[in-house]
Amino acid sequence: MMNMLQACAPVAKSRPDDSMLVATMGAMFTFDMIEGPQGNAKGIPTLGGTAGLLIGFAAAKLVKAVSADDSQADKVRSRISSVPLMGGAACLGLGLALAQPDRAVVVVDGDASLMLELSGLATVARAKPRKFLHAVIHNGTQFTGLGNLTAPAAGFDFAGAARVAGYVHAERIDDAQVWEQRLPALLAMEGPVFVELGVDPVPARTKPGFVQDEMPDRQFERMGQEALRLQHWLRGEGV
Amino acid sequence: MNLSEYSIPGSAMLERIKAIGVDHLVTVPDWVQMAFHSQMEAGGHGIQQINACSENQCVTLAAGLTLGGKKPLVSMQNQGLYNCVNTLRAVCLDAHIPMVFLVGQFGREYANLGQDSRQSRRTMVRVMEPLLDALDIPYFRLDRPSDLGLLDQAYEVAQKRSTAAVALVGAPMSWS
Repeated sequence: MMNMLQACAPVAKSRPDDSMLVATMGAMFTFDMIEGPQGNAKGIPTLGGTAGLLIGFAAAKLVKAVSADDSQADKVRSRISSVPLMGGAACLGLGLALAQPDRAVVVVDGDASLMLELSGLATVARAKPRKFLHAVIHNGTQFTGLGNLTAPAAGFDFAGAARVAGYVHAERIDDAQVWEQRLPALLAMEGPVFVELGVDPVPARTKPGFVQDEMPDRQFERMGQEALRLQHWLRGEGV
Repeated sequence: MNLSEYSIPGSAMLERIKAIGVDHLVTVPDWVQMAFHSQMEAGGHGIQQINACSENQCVTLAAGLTLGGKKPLVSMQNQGLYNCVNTLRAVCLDAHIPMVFLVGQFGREYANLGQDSRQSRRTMVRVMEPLLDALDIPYFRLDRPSDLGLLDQAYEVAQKRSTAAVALVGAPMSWS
């Protein structure tokens, strides 16, 4: 199994500059942490296990601290988060893919999120977006890295479900190196393509006495801000 | 009661959305709009129809189309709108992505046609407008063929306010 950083960093590193990225909550937080000012995770070490995860996040923090933000970078402007909205990522990505068929769309979904709108697999498959890679982080938890509640996805064969739904290609990958090596080929395939990533949950932080932070306004505003930024980017306009 | 007084022809709805410039119909089909859906399925109109498996998927799919520069219409039943309220909240109310919904008042008793739908004896009909009021979503009643032009207004309001606008189809569309 790979860790969350090993699941997300290859996407940030190797998705094309003109592609679009749709992410759900867990992946969004990871992309937020690891993406540098140009919106990629170049130079971030992707070591295994919990120690590797912490080293990667620490390195990313350092890179951000010494770099200036580039809000005009393609990879910064081409991201949108389906947040807070469980279950919305796949079809949000599908709409983008149908509207912009010459651009690749990468959806990084969560297992609990996908379960909520599992029939979206059939909606995607039927619409046949050609440049569409749908990845699901299968870590079996909700609120991963916080309370790690059990997601209703234990033992569920997401790749099998995608195959049955009609995706052109679907596979499961548990090994980080295989995923990193395989991603360019999956991106190059005619879609819709699906990949189920076997991922270890980020260790929980809650314990007796833990106090939950208030949910910041940004959590409820960012999808709209990203939507606006994405529209400007697609039209070739400045921020 | 003469149903034809209240029924919008499915063909007229198709012509209206063509005139508006709709390029995608995203739908979980509706009994009330069956005549319109039938026109759509016949093809030859240049509008791409996408059938989703749930109304939540309709909303997110239409959001992606809109961000990508397209002009979708989302079509569903009143039951479907109840089903996708949270997605509508996220996409249209919080993220401010404009979207027009064509919603059939499925289950409306014919005795209620021409009357206030809030007086319907069917819950799914009666609570629709109060729900839209509570969500602060503008809506338009397509209760007669002469109301069809209100769909244009729904697009204008959705765009101007960067939100959802709902056009409520009050009676089964006609197959003429």
